[in-house]
Amino acid sequence: MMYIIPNIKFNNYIKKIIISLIKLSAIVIILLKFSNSIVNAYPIYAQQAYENPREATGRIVCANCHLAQKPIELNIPKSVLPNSVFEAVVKIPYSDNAQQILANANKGPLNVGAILILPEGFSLAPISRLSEEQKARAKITPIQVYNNQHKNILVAGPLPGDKYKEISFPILSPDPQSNKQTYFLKYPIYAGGNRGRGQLYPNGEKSNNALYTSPVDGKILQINKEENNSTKIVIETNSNNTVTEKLPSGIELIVKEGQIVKTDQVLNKDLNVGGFGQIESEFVLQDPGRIKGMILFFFSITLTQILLILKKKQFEKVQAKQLNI
Amino acid sequence: MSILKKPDLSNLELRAKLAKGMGHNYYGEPAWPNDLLYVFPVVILATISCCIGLAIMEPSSLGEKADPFATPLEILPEWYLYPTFNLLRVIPNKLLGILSISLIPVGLILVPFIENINKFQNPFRRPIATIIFLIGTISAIWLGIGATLSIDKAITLGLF
Amino acid sequence: MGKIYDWLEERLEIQAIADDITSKYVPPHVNIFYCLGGITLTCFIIQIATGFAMTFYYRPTVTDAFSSIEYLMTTVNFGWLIRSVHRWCASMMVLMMILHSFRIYLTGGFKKPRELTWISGVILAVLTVSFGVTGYSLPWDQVGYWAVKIVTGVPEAIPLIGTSLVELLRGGSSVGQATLTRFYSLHTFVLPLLTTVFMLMHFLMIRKQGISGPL
Repeated sequence: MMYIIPNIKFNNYIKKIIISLIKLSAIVIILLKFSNSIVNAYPIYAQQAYENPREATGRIVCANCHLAQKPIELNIPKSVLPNSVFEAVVKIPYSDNAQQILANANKGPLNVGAILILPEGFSLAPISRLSEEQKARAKITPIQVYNNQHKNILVAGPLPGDKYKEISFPILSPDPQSNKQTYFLKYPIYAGGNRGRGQLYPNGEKSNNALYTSPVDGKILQINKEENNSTKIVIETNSNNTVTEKLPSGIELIVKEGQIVKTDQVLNKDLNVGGFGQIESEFVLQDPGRIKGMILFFFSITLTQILLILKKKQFEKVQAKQLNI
Repeated sequence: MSILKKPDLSNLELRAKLAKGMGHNYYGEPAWPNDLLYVFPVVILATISCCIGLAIMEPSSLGEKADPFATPLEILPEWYLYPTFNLLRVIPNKLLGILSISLIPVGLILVPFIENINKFQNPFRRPIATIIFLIGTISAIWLGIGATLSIDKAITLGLF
Repeated sequence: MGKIYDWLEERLEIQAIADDITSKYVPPHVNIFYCLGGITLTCFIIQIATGFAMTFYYRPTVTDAFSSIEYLMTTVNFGWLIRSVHRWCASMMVLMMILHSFRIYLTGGFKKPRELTWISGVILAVLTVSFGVTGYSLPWDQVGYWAVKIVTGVPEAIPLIGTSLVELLRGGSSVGQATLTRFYSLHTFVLPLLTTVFMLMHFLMIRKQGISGPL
């Protein structure tokens, strides 16, 4: 491929076109590379296609390909101190004996992946700040920064699901005293987690883990097996046109030749065992000074209350004397 | 509560008041200074420090700037509106939903007039009122929990 | 001190007020649950104080509201505390009000002759919830904006007057600056005024009739 043609002065417009062409070809190359192997939670797809993985509605873009929804959990401390390391744990539960359909039509184990969107200023903790236990874990958990604009967004995966049902992200909190862009506030944190393969490829094509539906009302004329084990279904519409629907290898049909089908009627069995889930939580970047002030304040309040009650008890004695007279 | 003034039952004016269900502020512990000067500040200070303590431990979050073109995935009102919110959500006819919600204050206003059929105050001596209270409270909490769940679990809470 | 007292006594007969207060007693059946109404009032006063402080910084326009809250939370001294107290105290006020109504209901405190006190209480409850609804949208954040959009859309289903009612609430057919202005005015002017009036009625009636009797 020729990327640079000499002796031509590019203007920005042509440059942009070429850059986007390069990007596109990169995506195509990756697609070709993976489409015949196992397709799993690949944050790389999101990294290539979206500058910010969280849409304005709060939806995380992983859900664009992982259409099935499964819950996840997020464990974070309620509040953290500035310039300290804490852990955010994304739990992606699924049954231990779950097997999924792979792209080569065999059954296999599930992979998992996770994304963690931290507030601005928070980042992946450097190895030097971790405890020994955390270091050991960090060595085996490959966590990446989403991209250079968003150092606060972390991704991990695909990882073997049997080892990583809990993915732990060590995080370093900023210090508002030195970093003036951060404040002692309550911050939102968003997490997404996925197990198993998606239903769509980034180019919009369905995987063999998806449900295929009839595009028209009509009757199934033929079901043909192609040489690469994919299936071709020929449907005759009510107006006697024929429509062909191609299904990849690995799907299990639930329709027969000669069967009448309606638009959007499902043609194959749902083999999906995985799914993507997202969750949001909040935590406080707490100023130790505030806590100290609060304790002092509570102490003075309690003291005042005790003194008031003592004064009341003392005054009751005076009242008792007066009533007895 | 060691200082108690007994009701002066020889006072005809007080007896007339008590007969009308009033005048219960003419016997007992002196309001001033025992209560007003000493106990009131204790309660007020406790309330203030409760609010301040919660505000320090869990300050308000900032949220995101409003975007009229992006509906958030989850929209919830304040917690005390959860039951009514859920009611509006599950009642298919919106007009019926509005009616059922506006019936809440109307029903509450009517309570004293319905309940004046007996003069008992003790909840154990007016079992119907107590049962209505319990059912109302439990169903409000139930509906409130349902509001935080998805629409298919709004009534069952996913329990059955 | 004595001179000030005399000066006031000559003009306002403050001795009568003092005598009135000192002649009142708290009957022995009063327990801690009888504090709940007073705590609600305390919360309301905290709300007025913190809300008042926030009006110095808040700008009720769709473009500035959010950034003014951001400024309040991050830059203003103790701004974060004022707003957080306002949020927590609002919840506390509603909770205490609910518990107070539970106490009244269970001890039959609404019975004759206290029906009107109960009615003014129900009106106060509606006003308190309206405070919550209008205040929720003021930061003009995602949650607040969409909540106000849903809430103001609810009356749409009422036949005949529904659409005009929605327009009245929103100040137009859609949610925008007019809605925010309306909610701000309601939250900081109309509702506090109404609440104060009904609270005064509530308290004057309690004052007149005294606390409800033993069970």
